[in-house]
Amino acid sequence: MRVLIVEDELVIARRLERLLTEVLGADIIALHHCSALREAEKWLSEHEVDVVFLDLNLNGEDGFELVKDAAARAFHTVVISAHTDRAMEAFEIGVLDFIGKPFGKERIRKSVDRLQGARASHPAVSLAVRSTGRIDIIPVSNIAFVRAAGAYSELVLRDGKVRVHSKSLDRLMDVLPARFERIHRSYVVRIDEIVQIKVREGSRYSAILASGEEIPIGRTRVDHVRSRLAAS
Amino acid sequence: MAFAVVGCTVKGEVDNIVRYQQGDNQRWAAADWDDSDWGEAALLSIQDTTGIMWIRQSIDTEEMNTLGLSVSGVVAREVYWDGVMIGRAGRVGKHREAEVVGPIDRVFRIPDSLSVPGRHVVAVRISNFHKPSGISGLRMAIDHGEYRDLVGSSFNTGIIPLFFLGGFILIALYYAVLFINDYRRLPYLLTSLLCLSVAGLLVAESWRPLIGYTYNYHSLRISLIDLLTGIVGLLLSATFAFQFRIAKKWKVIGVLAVILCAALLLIDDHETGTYVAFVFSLLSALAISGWASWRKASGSYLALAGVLICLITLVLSGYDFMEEAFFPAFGLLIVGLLTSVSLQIREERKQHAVAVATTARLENQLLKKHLQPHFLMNTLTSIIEWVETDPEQGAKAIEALAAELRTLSDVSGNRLITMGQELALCSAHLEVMGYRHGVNFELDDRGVDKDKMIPPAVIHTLIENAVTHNAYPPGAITFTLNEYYEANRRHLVLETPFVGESKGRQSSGSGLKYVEARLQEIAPHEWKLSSGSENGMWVTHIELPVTGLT
Repeated sequence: MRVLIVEDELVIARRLERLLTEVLGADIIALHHCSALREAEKWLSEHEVDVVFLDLNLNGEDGFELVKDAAARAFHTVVISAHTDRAMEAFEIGVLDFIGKPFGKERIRKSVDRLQGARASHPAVSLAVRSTGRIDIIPVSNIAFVRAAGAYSELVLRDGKVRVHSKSLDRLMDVLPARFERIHRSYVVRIDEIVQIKVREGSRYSAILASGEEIPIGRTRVDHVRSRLAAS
Repeated sequence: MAFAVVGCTVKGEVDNIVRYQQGDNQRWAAADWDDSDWGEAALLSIQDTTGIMWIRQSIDTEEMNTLGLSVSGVVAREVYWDGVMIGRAGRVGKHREAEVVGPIDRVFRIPDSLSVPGRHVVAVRISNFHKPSGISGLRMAIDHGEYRDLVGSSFNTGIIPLFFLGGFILIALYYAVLFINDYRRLPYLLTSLLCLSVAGLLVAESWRPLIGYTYNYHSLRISLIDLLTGIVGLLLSATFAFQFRIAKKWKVIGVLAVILCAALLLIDDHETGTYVAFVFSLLSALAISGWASWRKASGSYLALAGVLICLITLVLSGYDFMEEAFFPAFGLLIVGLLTSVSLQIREERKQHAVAVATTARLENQLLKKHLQPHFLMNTLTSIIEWVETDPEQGAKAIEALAAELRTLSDVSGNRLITMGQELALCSAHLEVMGYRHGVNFELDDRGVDKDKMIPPAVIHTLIENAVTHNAYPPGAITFTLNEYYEANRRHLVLETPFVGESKGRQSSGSGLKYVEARLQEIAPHEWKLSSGSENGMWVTHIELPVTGLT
């Protein structure tokens, strides 16, 4: 795992480094610390990271805009902040975790667990999407399904519009609510968008959405999708 | 024409044309004495007399009931009705020793046998060896009518002002007590004295009709009334001036004092003199309350209304003002004044409450800042790290944090603390932040007087701002605080190094608002705060007045 820590408090950054090293052990591929934003930007433009531990109040400023920007990126964002009252706000924008200060080793371990597969404890309500020169906030309720597009994802909205998100389909799944189901290697669909499951030739399955769109269902996943539809 | 001239309590004395003759002859009392060779003049225009004088007057009456004759004057007198002596006031004498002073007013009852309609002759034998100096001419009045009416009218004249006497004395006492409790409030004292003077004027006015006095005291009472009139006029304007805090109050009061003295001393006729004095007193009060109303001083409209009512009454009732309308109208004026005083007190209480609330809010803000997650939780996170990795360092940091919080709780409730306390707070904070950031912060405070006063956490907040908004690299960082005096102003200058993007951010934020609110609290509108970058340093400049802070 490649980790970047953005924290202006020297001792706290050191603590994060230490605890992450202890928890992740050999899983750490890279661990870097930046104490200022510009420095972090430079690092990110030159290196790929899996997760950024971001202090919400860099140099005493409210860094929420920064969190939005981070949440729109390909990497996962874990917010570190003394202001625990901002946690829900951060989760809603699609961060994977929010760690309140002060924190101990157990809290870091929990966060690492989430990074390594588990979903965010609080799913996103909106997704931050990078657009030219700005960050758009797309309510999750507007998303019909998500399609993999190489390293990126395409959010297909209910009105038919398509927005590109920098996160991979895997990472998006980590922050999306449970009503989004992975029905195919390349597709995540909102379960209540599915109107019908069709069986095509050669036992291929596909889901018909409310919009009329047809999306393939992976053969191994069809039973699971069926049971979820029955439950809903 | 009540109170000025002798004999004032009865109507008609203006055309009191009489015959008069110097000398003494008992036969001059007779109704049929031929006085055609005597002098003839209005009573009040008769010039001064020496020795005994006789005055005769013919009176026509249609009165059917018991007749009365009112003969007032600054004289001792014997009164004859159709040749019959009906009474006397004092004893007429040929020289000073022989004369006995009598009451200034007396109503004589005419025996029923002589009380018949038709023409009668009044003869009065007088002497006035005890006439007080300052009274010229013959001060006398003769009137006739039903005996009961004449006796009642003097009572009526005296009793109405007395209704107000108790009220004015009570108000005077009440405001005296208020002043004793809050001696800084001069309008209380002035209001009390004003009401007391008005009460004195009431007594002086009512004394003659209700109690009376011998004629030799007449000018004493007149002087007393003049004096009290002047005092009332001055106190009225002074109360208004202090109440509404007008500029140059002493000049206004001084000018009024000169005018009042001139009116009361130079105008020969006492009645005209007091009337003019009152007109000027009320005009002055009108100007002051008018100015206050224009400036929208609280309660000034009521005072203005009171003065206007008084002035209108004065103009409408003319010389009868003192007798009929003065005390009710003045009562209204005082009510207006008192209401405006209480309105102003309410306003001040409100402002005081706001000030107390401000102090409480600032204290709250200051304490909250240190319970704020950004400061406290970051510090605690660092401390946990040291507890786990470097307990010794952790202990030091906890001590520094404790020192900062302790100093803070000591000073936060005060409006002003010593610079020494402030610097202790700053160094404790710098120590905590130094541990957290791995920076060795120094505060150079050699140029500062540690005994001078400053609002709590002002320098502390500026330093905190600098530490928070600058990403200081590990190493030594020195802040400098200097103090100097120039043009009777105290200057405090804090220099903090700045790093990169922090420029500008330091000049905004809730921290500076706190500093501004603190400065405003101790030196309203007399402080200055500016900041900017100079030679790689962020310089914050505080300017305060020299006085009022210690």
